[in-house]
Amino acid sequence: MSSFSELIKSFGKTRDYVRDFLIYGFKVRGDFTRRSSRTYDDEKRRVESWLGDYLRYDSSVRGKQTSISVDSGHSAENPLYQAYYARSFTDRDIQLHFLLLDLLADGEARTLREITDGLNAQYGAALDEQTVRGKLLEYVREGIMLRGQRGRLVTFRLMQETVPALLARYPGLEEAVQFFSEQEEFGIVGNMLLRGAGRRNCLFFRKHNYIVHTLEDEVLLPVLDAMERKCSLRIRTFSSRSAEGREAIVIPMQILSAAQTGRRWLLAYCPETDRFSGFRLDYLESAKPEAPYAEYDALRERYLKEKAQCFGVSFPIPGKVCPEPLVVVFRIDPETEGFVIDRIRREMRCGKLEKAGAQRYRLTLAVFDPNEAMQWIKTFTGRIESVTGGTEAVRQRWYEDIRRMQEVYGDDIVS
Amino acid sequence: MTLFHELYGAYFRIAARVLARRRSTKLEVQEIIQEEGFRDSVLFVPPRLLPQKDGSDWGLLREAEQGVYEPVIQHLPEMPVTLLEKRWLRARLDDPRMGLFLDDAQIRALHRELAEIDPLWRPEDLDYTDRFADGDPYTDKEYRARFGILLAALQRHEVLDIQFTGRFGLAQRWEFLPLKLEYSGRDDKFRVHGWQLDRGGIRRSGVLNAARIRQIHPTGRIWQGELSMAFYFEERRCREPVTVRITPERNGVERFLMEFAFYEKKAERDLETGECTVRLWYDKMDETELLIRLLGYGPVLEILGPPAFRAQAAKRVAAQARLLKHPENS
Repeated sequence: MSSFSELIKSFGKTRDYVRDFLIYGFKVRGDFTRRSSRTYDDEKRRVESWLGDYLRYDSSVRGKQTSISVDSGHSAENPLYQAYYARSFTDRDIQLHFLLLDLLADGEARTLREITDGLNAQYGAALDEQTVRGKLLEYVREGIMLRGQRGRLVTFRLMQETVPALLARYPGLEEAVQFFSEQEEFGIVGNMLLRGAGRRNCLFFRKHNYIVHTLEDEVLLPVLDAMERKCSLRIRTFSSRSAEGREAIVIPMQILSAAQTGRRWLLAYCPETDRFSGFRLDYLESAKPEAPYAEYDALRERYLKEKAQCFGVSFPIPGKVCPEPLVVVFRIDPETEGFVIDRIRREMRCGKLEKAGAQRYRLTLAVFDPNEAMQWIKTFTGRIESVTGGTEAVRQRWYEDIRRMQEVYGDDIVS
Repeated sequence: MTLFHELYGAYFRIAARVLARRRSTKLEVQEIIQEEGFRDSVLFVPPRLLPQKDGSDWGLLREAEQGVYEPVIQHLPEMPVTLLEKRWLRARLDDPRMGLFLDDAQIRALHRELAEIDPLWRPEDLDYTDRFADGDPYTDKEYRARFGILLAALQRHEVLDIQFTGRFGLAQRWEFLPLKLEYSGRDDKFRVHGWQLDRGGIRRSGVLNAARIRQIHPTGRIWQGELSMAFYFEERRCREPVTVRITPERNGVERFLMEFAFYEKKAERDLETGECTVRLWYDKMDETELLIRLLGYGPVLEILGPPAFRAQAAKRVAAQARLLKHPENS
């Protein structure tokens, strides 16, 4: 008999499948090679149960493609949050939870013995003190139980503030939670608050909404903890190209997001290379804070200084000279195309824009890795007079790209 | 403190809702499961939640009379706010956008209430590499006031009289029914989606930048008609999807699928070439933005259609070629 359950014990495995269904809509069963076919079937069935309406099946010559199709800009709630609501538990966990809530509903502090006796007497629960103590301490860590002292005895009492009561005390807070529940930074917690009050977001959408980021929230918690405590961090990463993972000890500095490409990185100092590197959060398998790092503040200062030279997340390599600034000259008519100038100004990051002639505007980017700017610069195709500076390789590639694009689209133009 | 914890789980929510009722029939329990649970929860939850003769259930309900169940507990199962939720709220208090929802006195009071709580993150822990530099002025008093009027009207379905600066700098005045507020993390801006009205009826859909609103007045008129977001977005949706082909060069396929993950799309991959063909559906208003983002991929991506969309790309590439051929630029 099948032991299939909708619920899961750990988030990591599921995270891989949900991400692949969402990002790579073209994968078929045989493409999921990191784990067994049986695992694939179970994970797919779970995702179908969680996200039924969002699953799409297409036939291809290679087999049935399963994908998650979400127009996330028009969704009031991130459907991937469902995965966070599927944590498995034991029969004892759920029984004890509701009996404790009931027994301690009056907010009075009780000793472990009083609680255990109360559970057994009032509900016929047949519980031992060790089991009850474990659950009480767990709930102290989760913040719903308060530990106290009565003489030499430890007491426990249930926290009394509920989500509906909190939202009622601050008119407007519910709307704020609705908004923030769909934002990138742990929106799932806002959604938990809303669900706890029987509410859902019905007011806000998020444009350019990379819903997949929520799958990284769990691994992000220990990273933030390490940054708060100025600790080193043991991370394990995996690669899309190989099943082999990689472990490293790094000093975490910041989480950087690219709002235009959907990528997120942990920026961290790597003692081995004496350099700051970006680790993609979607390839971060686990993170564990280690010992406090004595030079943390000095390192953070160096990080911020070097970050000012980055267009993206490529940081200077010690001993390597910074290339000369990349200079792009645009042809723009300020009378009729002022919106293009506005766009450059708001998107140029650390760049400097100057008027260089009647319809000429010169953008100077003094960045460590000019290649990181090239995708953005190509969005101005049709307006670029010249690209100079940077590195020879970057310039050559840009001119070559334009030549190749002419080959692709050249025949379309009827002069 | 854990994020992935059963305390927040769907099954705990189902149990809490059932236990909050004095009596429930099996059918009522199933309805709650369908509302709170996953698609297949109705198969898994009833045998555990409802009393079973062999005692294999969770022991939370007893049968009061045939087919009617009552909770074994006496009080409403009220779940306290967790530490994780408090830390999240505390972190959110440092966000200037909180001032769009709470007034300064409320923010100060909540700060005091959460004074002992460490924020889940600090503003300096998280940053963007590419957020636009002209985000909305969240702390501006007038912006906050206008936002409040928008939000209230949206909740009441109230028609607004709005004066704003249009895309080309022209002053405009609309009778406007707001439907949803939209925030873009990239632009760091709020926009409001709604219907532009004309003599009481719908004229067309419209999206206004919150920061471009100059005057905003509630009219007192509450919209009584149906408000279907599906109909609204259908009106704004492109007639035909854009079809593009991406080559694996420079990790193009992975980069593209990630960047365009928020679009409704259908992707197919050619195993022999590694190329990926994708159809993307988009909002007509975003056509130019989509075009330039696709051009950013250079020769790694080819726009296959529709012809009019491809022609726009071809026109820009031709203009680029002309600029480079110009003697002044060689």
